[in-house]
This record gives sequence, C-alpha cells and structure tokens, in this order.
Amino acid sequence: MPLPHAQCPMPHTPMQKSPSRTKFRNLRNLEFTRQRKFSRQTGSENGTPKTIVSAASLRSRLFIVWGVLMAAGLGLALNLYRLQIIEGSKLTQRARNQQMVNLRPFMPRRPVVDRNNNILAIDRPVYTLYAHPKLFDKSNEEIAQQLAPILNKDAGKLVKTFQSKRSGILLADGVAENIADRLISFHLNGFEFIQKYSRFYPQDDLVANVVGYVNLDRRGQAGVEYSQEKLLERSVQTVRLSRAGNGALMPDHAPQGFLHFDDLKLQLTIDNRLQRAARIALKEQVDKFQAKRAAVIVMDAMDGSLLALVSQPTYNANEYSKADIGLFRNWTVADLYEPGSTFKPLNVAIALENGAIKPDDTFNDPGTIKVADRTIKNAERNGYRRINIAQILQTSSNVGMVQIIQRMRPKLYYKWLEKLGLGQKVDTDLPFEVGGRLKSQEEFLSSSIEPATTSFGQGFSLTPLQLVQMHGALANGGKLVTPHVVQGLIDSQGKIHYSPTLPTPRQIFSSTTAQKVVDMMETVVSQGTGKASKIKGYSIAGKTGTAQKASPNGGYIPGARITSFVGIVPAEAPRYVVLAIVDEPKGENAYGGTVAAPIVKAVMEVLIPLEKISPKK
Amino acid sequence: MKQPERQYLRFTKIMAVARKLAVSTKSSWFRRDYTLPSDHRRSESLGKRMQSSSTLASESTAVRSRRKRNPSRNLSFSPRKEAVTQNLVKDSGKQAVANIPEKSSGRLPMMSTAGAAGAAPVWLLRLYTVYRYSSAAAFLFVSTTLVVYGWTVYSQELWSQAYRTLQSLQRNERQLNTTNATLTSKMAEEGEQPAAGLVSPNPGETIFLPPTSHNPNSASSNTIPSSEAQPQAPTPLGY
Repeated sequence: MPLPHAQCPMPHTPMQKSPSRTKFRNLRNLEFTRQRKFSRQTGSENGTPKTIVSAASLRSRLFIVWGVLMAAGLGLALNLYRLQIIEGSKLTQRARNQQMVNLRPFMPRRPVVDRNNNILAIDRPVYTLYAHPKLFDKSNEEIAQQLAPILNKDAGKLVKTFQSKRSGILLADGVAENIADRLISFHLNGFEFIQKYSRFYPQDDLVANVVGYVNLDRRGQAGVEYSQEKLLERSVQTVRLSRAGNGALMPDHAPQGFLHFDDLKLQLTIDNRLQRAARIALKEQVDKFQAKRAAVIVMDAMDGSLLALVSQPTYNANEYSKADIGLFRNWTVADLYEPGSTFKPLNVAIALENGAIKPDDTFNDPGTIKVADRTIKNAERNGYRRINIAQILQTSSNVGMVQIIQRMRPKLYYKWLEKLGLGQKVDTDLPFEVGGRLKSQEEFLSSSIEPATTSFGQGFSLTPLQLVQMHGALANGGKLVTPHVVQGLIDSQGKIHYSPTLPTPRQIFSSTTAQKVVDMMETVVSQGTGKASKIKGYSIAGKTGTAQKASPNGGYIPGARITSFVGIVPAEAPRYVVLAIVDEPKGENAYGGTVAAPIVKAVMEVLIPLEKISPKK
Repeated sequence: MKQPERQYLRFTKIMAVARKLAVSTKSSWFRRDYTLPSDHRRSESLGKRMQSSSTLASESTAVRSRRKRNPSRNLSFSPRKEAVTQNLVKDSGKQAVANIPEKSSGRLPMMSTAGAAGAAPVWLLRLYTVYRYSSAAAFLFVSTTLVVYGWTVYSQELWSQAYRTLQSLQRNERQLNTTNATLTSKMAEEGEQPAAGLVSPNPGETIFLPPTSHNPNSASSNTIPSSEAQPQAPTPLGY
C-alpha cells in the first residue's frame, strides 16, 4: 500500500527529514502514518545508490519474512504429519483410553411372569453402601442424624460405626434404588455406592418352589431359575462408550444395537390366583392334621401345562439364605412315593384297554384274597360282597383290583406299566427331577405277589407329578402329555417369541377307555370315598388314596401314611387334573377322603370360575 | 534565504494548479474527497511556516495522499510497474501534477488508481472477480463447516440427553413394575385374612349363561366351556 518515496518526481530536491515529519504529524490517517515512516526512512537515504540498497534490503527482508513464514508453515506441516501419521494411532489410543468408559449397562435377567402377566421374579439394582469417615465434611453426629431415619438404624450406633474405622465401613447391603437415590441427593462426601443387581420375588414364598431363587453370584439355584437359565440370562456385553468432559455419554463408537435389548419375559403356565387359593386350602389342612408336608398340583391335561404347583412348607425366595436347605428341593418332582389307591383307575384303564375286563364286569370281594404266600386285605370293608368295577373304585377295594390284574398276564401288565412311563422320568422343565422306580422285569415276574401289590398302587414308586401326568392321560382321551410350567418367552405386547418344544404326547389309552374310567371315577365322588370333594352343579371324577409310607430301609413305616386325592374336572368333558397329597397327617381320621379331598374341592372351586368351566347340564 | 522563497513560490504555484484542478475537474473522486480542503490548508500553513524547504516532493506526497484515499476504496494492489505507469499515463488529465518519471516509479511496488474500470487490465479484473467469488465461497464453506461441526457436537449432546432420559425411563419402569407387583402381592395377602371380608370366587356364586342357541357350535360343544362367568345383570347375549 505505501507508495514509495522514489516516486517523487524531483530527485534533486533535497529532502529534509524533520520538516517533512512534522508536516505530517497531525495526520491521523493510519495509512498515511505508515507512509510517513516510509518516507522518513527513504528520505534519509535519498539518492540513487542508496535507493538501490534500500530496495535490496527490503527485498531481503521480505525474503526473510517469507522464509520465516514458510519455515513456520513447513514446521507445522511436519508436526501435523508426525501427530497424524507417525504417532497417530498411538495418540488415538491414548485419547480413547482417556475418553472411553467401560459401561456395563443394566442387563437384567429376564423377569418371570405367570400366565396373567403377574410378575413372579424381577431384577432390580441394589446398592452396597460403604462409608469412609475420613472423607466426611460434616461431623459424624450430623451425618448419622441424617442417615439414621433413611437406613432405619440408630443414630448413636451409626456414630459408633463411623468412629470404629477411618475408611471402608460396610454400612448397608442391598440398599434399594429409591433409598440410594435419597442418600445420593444429600451430596455427602465419604460415601460409596456400589451397584449390583438382585433378584426380587414380589410374591415372597408363593411360587418359590416353582420359580426357585438366584444366589449371590446370580446363578439360579432352584426351580425355573435353575432349569431355564438359558432363557432367563441375557447376554451381558460390556460396552465401551466415549464420555464427554461433563460425564455425559457420547454415541460415537457405540456398538450396533446397543440400545435394543429385548423386552422378553419368561412366562409360566402358573396361575397366581389359583396358586394362592391352593396354598390357603393346603395350609388349612396341613395345620389341621399336623402333616409333615403337603402339595397340590393342578394340570391342564390338554397340553400338560401346570396351573398350580404348591407345596408346604416352602421358603421365601427373597430370604433364601434363612431357609431350610431341604425346602429348596421341589419334592413334587424330586421325591418318590407309593401312590396307593390313586393308581387304581390307571390299572382299570390298562385292563379295559387290553380287554381283560369289560366295564360292566362284576367281581366277588370276600374282603381278603390270598396271593402266593400273602394275604391281601381291603383297607376298610372286609365283608363279602359282589361288586362291579366302578364299585371297586368307589370302595377302593384291593381285592377287586387284584382280581382285575390277575386276569392279565403279568408280562403284559409289566409292559403296560412301562408304557405308562413308570420307572422313567417325566421330562418336565422343573429341575432335579427323579425317575420313578419299578422293579425289574425278572423280579416283577418272579412272584405273583408283585402284580398283585402293584394293582393297588404299592411296590413301586413315582413322583406326584408323574401321577398327575398319568391321570392326565385319563382326562385328555388317553394321551401322555408332558407336565410343564414354562409357557415361553413373551414380549411386552404379549407375543410369544419362543416356546419350548415338548415331546409329542403319546397315545396310551383309547379315548373311550379313558372316558369310561373317568365315568367310574365320577361315581367315587358322587357315591364313594371322595364325597368330600363334591361341588354342587359339577360332576367331578376322583380317586382317594391312602398309602402306607415306604421306609427307605425297606418295608413300611408303621403308622405313617401318605394321603392323596386326585380329581378330574369336569367329568363329562375331562380337562383339569388336581392332585392333593398330604404326607404323614396325624389323627385317626386321616385318609385321602378326609385330608386330601377337601383340598382338591377348595382348589376346584377357584379353578372353575377362573377357567370358566360350565356346570353340568 | 532565496532558495526557500523560490521554493515557496513554486509551491504556491503548484497549489494554485491543484486548486484549479480541484475546481475544474469533474472527476468524482476529487469532489468526494473531503480531506482536500484541510490538506490544502495544512500545506498552505505549512508553507508559510517553512523555513528552508517545502519541496515539491512533499507536495506530491500530499497529492498522493489524496489520491491514496480514493484507492483505499476501490484500488487493488499492483506490484507491477507497467501497470502503474500505464495507469498514470492514461490518467494524465488528472495527473498533471504527478508527472512521474518512469525511472523512479519502477523501483518499488506501488498503488495505482483504478478510477475508471476500463483502465484495469482484464486479468486483474478477473483476478479480482475470482477473489470476490472465492472469498464468498470460502465464507460459505467456513460457515457450513462450522454449522456441520456444531451439529455433530450438538447431536451428540442430544443423544446423550436422550440416553439419560431412556435410562431414567427404564429405571422408572422397573420401579413401577416392582412396586406394582409388591402392592398386588400385599393386597392379595391382606385379602387372605378372614377379617378382610373377601371371598374366593366360588362356583355357587357364579352365574353361567348357556351359549346362544343359534350358535352352530353350541350344540356339539360341551367340551368347550364357551359360556362365561358373568356378574349380575349382564347384557343379554345373542345379538
């Protein structure tokens, strides 16, 4: 911009520095000031040689400036190259390490719900609270006063705890999220919240024997929690996210689908309301007869889904550590018992199916029968009578049953027992299941006493669940379904995403045979030993059972018995099988018909409205 | 003492020419140049005060200063001497005073007037146009870059806000579910107490309506419990 002085048209004019300077001093124009300086400078070196020198020096100065700038630019470029290319990856890594956080998002175990979507088990975060008194910025007393009401602890004791150690005091374990929120909102220094997840069972002990519990290591230890671990566990992936200076998470580097975890729940076939009703009925009878233990199983024979599975006593899944370890085992699938008379309808079905007997056959019942070297008696009636098959069931005649089975070849009978699944597992989805016990074929065939005792449900053992399964075959027209509690994985809209594949039901009886047996069982309730389970307006099929309790050392425990009752409702269109089993009820009048039948009645009374079973026409 | 006088005389003469020029010329830049009078005055007063030398050189500087003010508005820098000389020659009417020898002007880069558009070389004008458009483009690019960059930062902020909202919603859902389940279970437990006065559903207290007769399935469907448990005064079925 500045015009050079050399433009001056008159080189001869002697330039005097000072006047020209004063002359322009007043000018405020910046441009002009610059020019003035220029003119001063050049003015002093007026004359051609000097001008050349000045131009040369100017050029060199320009060159220097250019050089400096270029050098600086080059330097910057080199540094850029170094930072971006040579050390690029290393620096990126370092920055990443500083900015990224390892995030383990809350990946809860899937909740467990019942068939009506009531939550049976759900994950919730809990906190372990540590105190570090050396970091407190208030006095111990003040802090104790503040915390005491929230933690439900005595303030004085808290102060003592604070004084005991300088740091790392475990103050509370399993602090719920909302309580932790309140504590955090105080903004107190010196407290540490360590988050972990704990399983919560809102129903406490109601479904504990089905759902089970999860231990501290978040592994299922019993029930569905154990057997369906694969369905319940979500894959916990640690996500690395970058974090901004203020701690906010940033989406870059977030893995694909990081936010889209499924909302699946494990649905059980259990009906909470029925379960509750069954428990009330069961408790009542257990208390009344001071029984050792008792259980109720309700199964929909159409598909084998279990609507209720209650056992008493049970444990609170939220406080499993306080419970008796023996209770963790669901004895309806893990313990064997001799079913006794409740097995009789199945023997009748086998005989009918084989054509060994006709539905209207009659038998002589003298009260006792001699088989091999033993004498078999009836439990109650011992007088002579002539009875038909329905009456055998009604009066639970052992003698009659022995006669029915004696019409079959023992080998064929044994085949049928095997076909029923005796001695095998049910393959249910509840864990720790044991298979029933049936004597070996040689042993069974060696003596005629074996088929005779088996005919009234002794000499072999099975689980209560297996008995329900077999009665299910009577209720659903002859198919052996698999009892199960897992419906499948459903999403929040109730759509089923996965359902376990169950073995296809085996047809073991014809539907006519099954219906005939159910009809006979109906007379047991209407006229026989099962009168206690009568419900007005409904026809119910059932069979009582009072079995001696087998001793682990062989033989039977004197005085100890297992009373049971199996009911099928509605008898005209059989669908639901209800089994009540009470172990070692005390008292003279403790029989299947007096102890277990009322339980089944109470359960059915709730089942009927719940399942909308219409009354008899 | 004579020399200064002569010089002063020459100076006033030149000033007169300059004044005449200022009056006569129709050139817009001269007229618009409001500093001219003050410059003039100053140089005049200076001339009076001057003891030894008030050279034409200084005068020419003054004139140049005037000219320069105009370039500050619409001049471009030209390092080439040819351009300047050409310019000066063409502008001879106005440049009566500044009749600069080529020799002296060629040394250094200098500013030139561009009073008339046609006077500037085509390439310079092109360059100028390119400069204008490219600076506009550069401005646009820079602002776009800033906007895009700002958006990337802001969108992350938005995401992290939304993520926080999501987390708090999930947390609320969890707490709601848990509380709901706990309350339901508590209520059911309380209902179990005989004092609560609640009873279990009972078939004796349930009204079952037979299926409507025109339902083709109803005749054969006693296996399917199609009738429903209904409370008192249900709306009649069948239409």
